[in-house]
Amino acid sequence: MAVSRRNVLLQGCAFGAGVIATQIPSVVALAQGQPPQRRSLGDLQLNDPIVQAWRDGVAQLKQAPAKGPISWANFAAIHGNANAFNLCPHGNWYFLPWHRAFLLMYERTVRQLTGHTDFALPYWDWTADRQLPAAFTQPTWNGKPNPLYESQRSMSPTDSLPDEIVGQGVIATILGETPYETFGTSRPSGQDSLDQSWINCQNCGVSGTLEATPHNNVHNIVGGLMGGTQSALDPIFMMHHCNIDRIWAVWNINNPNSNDPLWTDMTFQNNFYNPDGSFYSPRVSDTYIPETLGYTYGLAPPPAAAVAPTVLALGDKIKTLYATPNVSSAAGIKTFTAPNAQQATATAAKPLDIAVEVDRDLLLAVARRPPTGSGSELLDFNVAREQAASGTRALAFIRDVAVTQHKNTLYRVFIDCDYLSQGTPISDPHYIGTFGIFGDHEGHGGKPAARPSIVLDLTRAIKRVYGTATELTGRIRIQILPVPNKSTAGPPGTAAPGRIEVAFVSA
Amino acid sequence: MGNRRSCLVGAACGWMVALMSPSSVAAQDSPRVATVAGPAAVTATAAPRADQGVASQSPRVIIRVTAFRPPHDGAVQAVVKVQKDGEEQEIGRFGIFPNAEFKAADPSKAQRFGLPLPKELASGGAVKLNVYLVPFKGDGSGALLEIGGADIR
Repeated sequence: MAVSRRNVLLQGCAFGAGVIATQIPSVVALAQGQPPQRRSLGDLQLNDPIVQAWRDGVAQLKQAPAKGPISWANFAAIHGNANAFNLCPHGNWYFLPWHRAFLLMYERTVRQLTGHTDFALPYWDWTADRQLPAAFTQPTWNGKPNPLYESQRSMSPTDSLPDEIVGQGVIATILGETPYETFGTSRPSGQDSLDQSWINCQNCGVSGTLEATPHNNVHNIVGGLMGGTQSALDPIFMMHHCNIDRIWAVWNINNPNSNDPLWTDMTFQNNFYNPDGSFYSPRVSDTYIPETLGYTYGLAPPPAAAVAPTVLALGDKIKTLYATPNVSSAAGIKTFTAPNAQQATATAAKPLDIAVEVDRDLLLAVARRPPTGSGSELLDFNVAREQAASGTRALAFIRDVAVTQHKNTLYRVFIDCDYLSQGTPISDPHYIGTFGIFGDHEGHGGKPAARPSIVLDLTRAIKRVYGTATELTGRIRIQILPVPNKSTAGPPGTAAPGRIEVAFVSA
Repeated sequence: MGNRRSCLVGAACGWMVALMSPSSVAAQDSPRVATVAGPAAVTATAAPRADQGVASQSPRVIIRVTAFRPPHDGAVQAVVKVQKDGEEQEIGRFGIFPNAEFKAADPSKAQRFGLPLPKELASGGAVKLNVYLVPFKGDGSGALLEIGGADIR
């Protein structure tokens, strides 16, 4: 029987429980029908049990005696030492499956060491969250040294990864690459056997965009240990590679892996350890499906049916918002308005700051909605729409905006950014989007010009800004900052909205 | 020459001379070594049929990197642009990992990077590429990237 993610997901996880070693704690979770889900760090608070389990597991591994196989130093040495890579493949087609198995070794070990049987490695979704995750940047945690902190990194907590490395455009390129050897790096040149030496034949293939661009550059930008052959000594390594692994899983929804026996039949012989210290030696074909390995990214199997009712219902409600601008309440819709009665104006020197009082529970529903990982909009169309339509969304309607010198101006919109200035980058977590005004809007002939209105989706920004907050006040500050349009020489203009509405919509 | 800057500049120049020596790079009209001061230029031509590898849906440029040296501080990325009709169009970026010096012992040991080549740029057969080194942080001084060649597949 051909094994596919769809079969595994639809038939339940008894299959998964049958193929992995029985001493592995994840079997407990599998037996209950659902493997633990790897979640985005951007969705986890600092004291989330998953983050705490990783913190505890790393601490225990670091304290373990170096002479045994189960220790932080020995695991990292499998990847590389101070002088060179060891067993890990880079620049060849074993890159993805080898690192999947490498991560699995950590995940299983941390479950065993901490007793947290539902533990699954969190991932650093650097497309959605451009800065180093906070759990990794604080030297101490609860008054003690933070085992996730690494002092040698050159990336500071306020540095942001750039669009050209991890932006949506790069992800779109990666997910559009096919076949497997273009996407996941190609075979070593001249490979003619399953000899183990082909596994870590470094840079013997052609690197695809996934490995060459976000993988390599995130390593290098984080810097310190992460930039070198000892990168696995930095605990952020696993979260970075977990996101690479997730992108492979996303790509697999629409694309098959290579079926070449030189790839599928290769065994990583004695490369990894089980939690009991015995060797774990998977074949490449054993690593295809996350659910059979005891974890999931929660990627739904492609639905066979046409557009799901959730998608249709959400579409209807958003249509209502467009068709009836002042709707304050309807089934599945709730709108909150803050008038700009004084016609306060945003300028380049002083952003406009308007607080919209909203229902705290609705804000919480958006902030805590299940994450939709970057790239998911490129999944099978129905899957993407179904995922995007789930949960409560928030939209901001910036109504009747009066502008000056708009041809010189980009209007950037943020939420709740205490340090907002001209230097705040669009990669900042508080950033929502930018709008511009096209055409003549300054009125002529004695008639006032029609004032434009803009809608922006707040959902992802609310998740970023409020998702890990321990307290929510039920207030969203919408900020508008005019900045110069670099294609023109003039100073930026101003913007004064008539009002701002925040609408919460659920299907 | 007692200060550190002079030493670094001297070392960088020495390394560059070594890279540009006839033994490492055949005589070229265009530079094959990129630094933050200037790009490497290379012409990508269609690979021989036997070396085409697995068929891809669209053409790709395969760039062979034969040597790399990281900057004194931080990291750099390579930005690849196609030169056509007097203009440049970026087709992709890549990084070298680990962020450490390497030199391929022979051309077959070069690191290879595949980038999608838009069909409209591939229409003329060979394409001229400029490979820039761009720092992420700092000025990228000391960084060098030697291009061994490029193919279209």
